[in-house]
Amino acid sequence: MIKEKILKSYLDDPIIKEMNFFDMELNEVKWAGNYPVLIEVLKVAISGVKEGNGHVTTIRKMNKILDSKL
Amino acid sequence: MCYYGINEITFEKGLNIIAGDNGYGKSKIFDAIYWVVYDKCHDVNYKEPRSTELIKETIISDRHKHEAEDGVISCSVSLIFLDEKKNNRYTLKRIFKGTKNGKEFTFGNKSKLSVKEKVRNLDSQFINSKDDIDRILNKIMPLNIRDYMWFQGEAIDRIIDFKNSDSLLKAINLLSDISTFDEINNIAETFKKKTLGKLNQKKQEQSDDQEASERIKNSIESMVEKITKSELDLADKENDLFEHNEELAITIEKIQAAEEIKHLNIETNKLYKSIESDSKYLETLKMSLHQKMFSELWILKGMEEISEEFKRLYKKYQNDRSNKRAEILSEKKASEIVKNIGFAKLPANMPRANYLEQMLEDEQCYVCGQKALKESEAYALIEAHLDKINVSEVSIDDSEVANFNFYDEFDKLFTNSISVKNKIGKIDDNIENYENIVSNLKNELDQNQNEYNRKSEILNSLLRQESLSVMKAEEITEKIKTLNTLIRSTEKKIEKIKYEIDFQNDELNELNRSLDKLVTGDIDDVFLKGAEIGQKLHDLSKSTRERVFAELIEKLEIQANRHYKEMTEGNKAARGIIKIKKSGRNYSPDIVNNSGESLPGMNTSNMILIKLATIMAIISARESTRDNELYTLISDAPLSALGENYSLGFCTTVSNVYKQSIITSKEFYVDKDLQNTLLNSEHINLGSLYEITPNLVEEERESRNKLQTKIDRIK
Amino acid sequence: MRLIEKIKGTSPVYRSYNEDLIKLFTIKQGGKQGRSSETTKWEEAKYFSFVYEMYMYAILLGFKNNYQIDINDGESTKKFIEIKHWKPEEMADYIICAIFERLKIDLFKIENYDEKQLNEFVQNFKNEIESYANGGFEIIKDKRDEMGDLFKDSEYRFLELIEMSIKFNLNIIDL
Repeated sequence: MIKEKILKSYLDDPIIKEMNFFDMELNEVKWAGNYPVLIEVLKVAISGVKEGNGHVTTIRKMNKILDSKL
Repeated sequence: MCYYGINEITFEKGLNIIAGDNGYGKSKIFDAIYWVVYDKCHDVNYKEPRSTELIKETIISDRHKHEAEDGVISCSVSLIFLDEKKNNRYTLKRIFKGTKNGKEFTFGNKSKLSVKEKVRNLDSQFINSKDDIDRILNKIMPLNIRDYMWFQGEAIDRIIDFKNSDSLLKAINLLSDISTFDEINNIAETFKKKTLGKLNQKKQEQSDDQEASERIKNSIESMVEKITKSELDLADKENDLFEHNEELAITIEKIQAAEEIKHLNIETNKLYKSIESDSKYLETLKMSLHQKMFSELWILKGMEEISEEFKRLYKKYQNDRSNKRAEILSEKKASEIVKNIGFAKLPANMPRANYLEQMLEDEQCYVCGQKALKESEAYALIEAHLDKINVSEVSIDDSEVANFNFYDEFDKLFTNSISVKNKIGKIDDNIENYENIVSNLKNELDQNQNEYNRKSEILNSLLRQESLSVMKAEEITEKIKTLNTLIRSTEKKIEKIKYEIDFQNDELNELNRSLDKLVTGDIDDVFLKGAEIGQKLHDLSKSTRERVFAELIEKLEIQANRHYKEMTEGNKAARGIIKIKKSGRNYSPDIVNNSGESLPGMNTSNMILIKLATIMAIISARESTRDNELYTLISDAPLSALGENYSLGFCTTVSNVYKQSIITSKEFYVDKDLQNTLLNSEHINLGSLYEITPNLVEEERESRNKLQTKIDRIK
Repeated sequence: MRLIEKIKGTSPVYRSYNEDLIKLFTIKQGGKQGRSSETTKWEEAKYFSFVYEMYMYAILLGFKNNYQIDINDGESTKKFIEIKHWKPEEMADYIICAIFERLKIDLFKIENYDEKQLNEFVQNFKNEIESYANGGFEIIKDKRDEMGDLFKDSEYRFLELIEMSIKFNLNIIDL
């Protein structure tokens, strides 16, 4: 199963859908909270598993995202 | 082994069938493929595959061993796999060698495997490194899914063992991508802990009272550990509770069956006794029929006339005899009278006694015509005459009447014939009565026999389903008691753990507040948001994993039902819908009715079909996600485990689920009609059909020295 | 001298070639009484307990069908138990009545026979019995050949066979 397919499974989840809504007034998609960062972190986790990297490496990469994006 | 010389079989896309009767060598083909890849061969004596080192020369053709010249003898199997998409070709050849010296054989321990790989348009080359060989073998048949792709018909039961309910979960994990989601979930959990840890670390650093914060932070960590532990504990206990309840339900079902078994047992016993005594009585009656033919004279039926005819004979005889006797008597009497009275001459018409009596009454002599008044001399004379006649003792000897006297015997025959005649008159009623009794008894016996057969059948099928004896009923009652106690105590434990978790969470919140209170200044957003993201990611990964799994199960159910329906088409015995039920942390397939209630009383064939349908569902559900990884199903006699009428359904499903499959079958050999249906079926994607036959008839196969198996391609 | 006693003192014979037929349907052979249980034998479709039972049956069957087969001189025959031992006695006696009737003999005349004539008569009487019996055996044999295994499928078979002779009052060989 390719990464995109897995990612899509997560993006279909109600939890993430709540963080992602369309603002009628502004006529644009709005993100609640830290949606973009969360997605970034998730992508790193998926890649980590799919590419067979160890957990330590993967989590370190995820932390780096936090540091750089927040 | 029964294969001699060079034998080649090409397996096409779709379903490939090797058909042959028992003992023709079907399994040997299955074994040959298995041997190449795993260096093991099925050993009849051990009922499992054993390595070449152990079975040695038994894998070499008996004919070859017999006919070969002294020197090296060997056997080998080559498998050629094609990966059409990538245009790769793999050749696997296993060879086993030995030497022959007269009647002695010596064999090495090891067989040798050589592997050739041809990638795309490049030249093929031998693969030498063990890692590369393993890589190729794993490509062809990964060890972890081997059980679901290469199996013997009789092993299906083991592959998904319903009693060991995690076997389905294991299969799902192996054949789906759910493990990827599990792994992501693990990462998310660690990530959450890390981010939370960092936040709390930061809080401590910015604390008024470093020491207090350190303490609180440690307490928080240990409280989180505690909560995790409690939650695991709770899940364990809930799982236990589920399993106890399941077991209770199954047991209760059994005791209901046990009640019925007990009841049926009593009834069939009663019927049996009644049948036995009725049969005995019927036998006696039948015996009595031939006795009655004589004792009650039934064979004389309708022969009353004989009695009538004999009566005529007898009456005539009686008359003849008495006339003759009277004749003799009167002659004799006349002469007596002459003697006594002293007549010189007998009057020609000597009157008889009755005449004399008449004379006296009329007071007249009819001899001379004169009056003979009372007290006259004439009257006295007549009186004297009469006296003389009456007193004279005239005796007749039998021999004077006839030479013999059979009167007594004839009379006895006559009397007998009259009594027999009377009895004959009653025979019709007697026979009718007898026939009524017999036919009533036969009817009753038939009814009882039918009833007995019907009830025995129900009883036996119940016993089979429940593998339960009447004796076990009490054991089950006891078990229910134990289970109920267990369930109540587990429920209490769960309550307690839940309460503990609530309490621990309260404490954790309290600890977090205390930690926050000690913090001075603002905490960097990176830590706050980081912890928030960590939490969110973990929630998301958990929820997604659950959802994906639920979708997978749903898909499995749909596919399993599709296969099940296809396989059971045209068979009314199969019913219900496959439902994959969560049992605690595990899953198992069950069969339910339209309202979702479990259907009890499945037969073995049905069970196996459900398992097969589930296995195929796992494979076919996987196909849509991993279309670059396709394996061949290889199964030895899978149909043998199924009931009749499932053969074609099975083939339809297999040929649609697997791009390529190879099965051996007796059914398509012995039943030529079935074979024709297979060949002409529109639904079955039949790649090839081979028939294998030995060159020797069964009686001659005893000596295997000339044995050779022929392989004929039918399609 | 007693006539019936003399008649009943004779042992009628049957043709040797009927022996298999008799064995087939009879439980006990003459004096040799097998000890095997009657039920087992019944299951082997034995309809008669003793040879004399089957013999009486055969006489009556021959008699009803007016079918007599004389036994020729020199033909191989089998003797068995004297008529006086046949049971039930009333049936044997009735059969004797039947023979008397069929011979249309004047009973009183017999009483006037001399000894030689009487012995001849007893011999004739016995021959008459035998010819009916052998006629009867022939009918049984024909019926069995005609029906094959079906012959044994009903316990009523022999009763039916003798009843049929009454109903149609004709020779069942022609049926």
